[in-house]
Amino acid sequence: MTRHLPQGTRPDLLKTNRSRRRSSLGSLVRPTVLLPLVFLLAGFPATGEVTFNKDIAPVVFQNCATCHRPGQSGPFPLLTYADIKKRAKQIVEVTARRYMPPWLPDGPKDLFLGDRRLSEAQIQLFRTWLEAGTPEGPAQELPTKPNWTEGWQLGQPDLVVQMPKKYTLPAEGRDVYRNFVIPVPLGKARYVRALELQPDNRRIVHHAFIKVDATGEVRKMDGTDGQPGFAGMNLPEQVKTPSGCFLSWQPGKMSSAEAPGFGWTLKPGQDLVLQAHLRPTGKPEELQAQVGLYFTDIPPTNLTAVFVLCSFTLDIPAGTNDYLVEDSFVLPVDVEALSVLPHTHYLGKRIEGWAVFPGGTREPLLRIPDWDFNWQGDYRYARPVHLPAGTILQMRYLYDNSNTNPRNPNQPPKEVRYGPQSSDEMGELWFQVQLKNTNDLARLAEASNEHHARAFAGYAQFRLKQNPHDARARTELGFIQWSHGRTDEAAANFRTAAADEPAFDQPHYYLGVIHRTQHRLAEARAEFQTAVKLNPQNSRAFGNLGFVFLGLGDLESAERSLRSALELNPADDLARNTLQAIVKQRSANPESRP
Amino acid sequence: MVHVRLAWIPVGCLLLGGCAAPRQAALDLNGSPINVFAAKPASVTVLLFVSNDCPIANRYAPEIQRLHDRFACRGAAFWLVHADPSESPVEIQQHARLYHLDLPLIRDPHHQLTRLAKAEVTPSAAVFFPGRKLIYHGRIDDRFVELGRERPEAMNHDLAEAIEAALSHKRVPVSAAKAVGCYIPSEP
Repeated sequence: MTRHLPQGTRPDLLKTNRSRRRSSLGSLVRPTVLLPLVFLLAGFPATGEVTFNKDIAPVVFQNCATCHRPGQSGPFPLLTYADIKKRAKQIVEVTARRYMPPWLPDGPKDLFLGDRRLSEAQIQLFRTWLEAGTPEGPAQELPTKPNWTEGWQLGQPDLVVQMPKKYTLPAEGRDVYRNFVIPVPLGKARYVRALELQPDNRRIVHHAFIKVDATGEVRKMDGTDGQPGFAGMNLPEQVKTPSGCFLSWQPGKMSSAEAPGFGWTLKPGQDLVLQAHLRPTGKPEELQAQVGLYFTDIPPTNLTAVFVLCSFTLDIPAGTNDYLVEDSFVLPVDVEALSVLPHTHYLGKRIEGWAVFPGGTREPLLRIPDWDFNWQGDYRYARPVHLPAGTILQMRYLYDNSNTNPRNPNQPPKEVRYGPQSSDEMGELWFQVQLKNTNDLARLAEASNEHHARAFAGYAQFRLKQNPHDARARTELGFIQWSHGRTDEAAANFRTAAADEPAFDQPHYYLGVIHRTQHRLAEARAEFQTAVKLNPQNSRAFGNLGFVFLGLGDLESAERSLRSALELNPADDLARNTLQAIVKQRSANPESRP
Repeated sequence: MVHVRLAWIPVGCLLLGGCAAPRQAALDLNGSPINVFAAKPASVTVLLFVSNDCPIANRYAPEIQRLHDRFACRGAAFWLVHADPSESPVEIQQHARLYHLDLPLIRDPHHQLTRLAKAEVTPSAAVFFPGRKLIYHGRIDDRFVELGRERPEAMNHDLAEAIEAALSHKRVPVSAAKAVGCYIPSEP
């Protein structure tokens, strides 16, 4: 079930091998060594001429036609002799460059599930066929086409939800990042064992992520610019990947169901958020994607978690082509790594993640030598990778912010820092792991939160160094200090932030929280009232204000505030229950009504 | 100059044993041979090679239309050339409607124009002075560096600059720039 990666392999082994091979090819000694290999290759066609029906069709049917057939993502079909003969030269080029089939990681073929890479022999086959003049061969040698499943790959879903409105993508321009809010009509919480995305227009969706919003935040952003959804790569922090799962989609990626006991819980009132990278095609296009949900009665008792290695302080000078970003994280408990998800934007060049085991050996966990934002997604290990407690996980990303990187969104290049927009940069390496028990889960969560908080505090300080009056950064720093028990420092930062940006509600909200926890209800009330005045959408400030009024004995104001909180966030069960209790008490003592 | 060339063609036909010229020529969508250099009096002729199912060529449809709208009124004759012999006139017409391409459409199944324009992929372009003098061929702009590697926006608009220069009787800045796209299939 589980396995260690072969001990003693160094993460840079692949690189070393490759550079050694490349340099020795140019040497004078090597050709004699290569000679037997050349004979072998030359001898290959001796088993018979390479023909379409016998040799090419099986490779194309298995590896290309999954997407290159009507209704799928490929822009043209690769199903018949005519289809493939016509594009033979193109196929030879794109397979030799390994642009097609698309697959970013290098390293051993058996590391990840769904590895789409062709073998060197298969790539050579296309070349030989083209050079031979693309012969068709005897018809009886043509294999039957695979029996592709049409429609839902995992069968009819238990529930199909859809983007409520059609989105129209303009005919041209830059790529579009758009987030669509998809409500799920659920009467009770359900365990989800699988989820499948069906973009009705596959030609335009280059990749997508599905996340869950339990706060109602994204509903407020939906459609504010007149089109369904909202723009940008940044989702509010409350929008999360469902507990312990990556839900990414890209053309050709197989849908897979979680094993019994895995999966996640979807609750009433939670929204799905489809975050899609869309590419204009030359004509206006419409999108109204569907998501199929597959439920199970088996609760997700297996414990999975996701955590991230990251850097927020990246500051990439214009013109640099080898900017390095590193992070590391020590695992406090044993885990089994299930999958890995790298993320950078258009300046990302090379991605490496590896484990340093307690004994000191280093094992590669992911290597992408030529990062391509367009083909990002998660990679699931073919067999879970055992990482014992004390293992250090490390990431090492290289960025190219020069003008020789054609994908550079800034021309001429300019200094680029951390940020969610496509012209900003990010550096993240997410791991999905399985844990033995809830104690381990809690210890991992604690270590991961601590790691994240330190990184985030570093980011806030980095921004405050650029601009000491950055109220957002100061508020974030205050929040981290407060959550670490450094209340006085936190309160001082919140007060400074409130003074630096008087229209910003968050410092007041946090000051209210501090007052409330210290039972200074009048002060708390004043801060929460300021917060909701500055931002009438702040549901948490309304909720807190409700409880403060409750503490002050003002039932009517408490009810009003809690109603506002619930209106803004229907998933706020605490507000709902408290409100019900107030109403009940009120009806029991009608004379207490003022 | 033009007259001299035309005069030579029948001799060439005789030498090849039967006049093959009409069969080799580009065709309008009714299947009639068409000489794009004689069909319209123009100081500059622009050929744009496209195909029905090349995603890169299709992405350029709005830009192609824009170039036409910008330069046609200044005396440049534009032709949208489909060189893939397997594309039928009906499909070509449907494609133009779908992508809002309002330019004269022709087929070049025998690659007479394709060879003259040195076109290898779609999308690509060729700009001629009278007398079939090729003064620019290659990419429309530099958005695509290779398949799968593209700029967020083009930096150099080579074709527009070439047409602009040609129409204003200036030197064309570059005479050729490699186009990125889908190979034009060879003749069947």
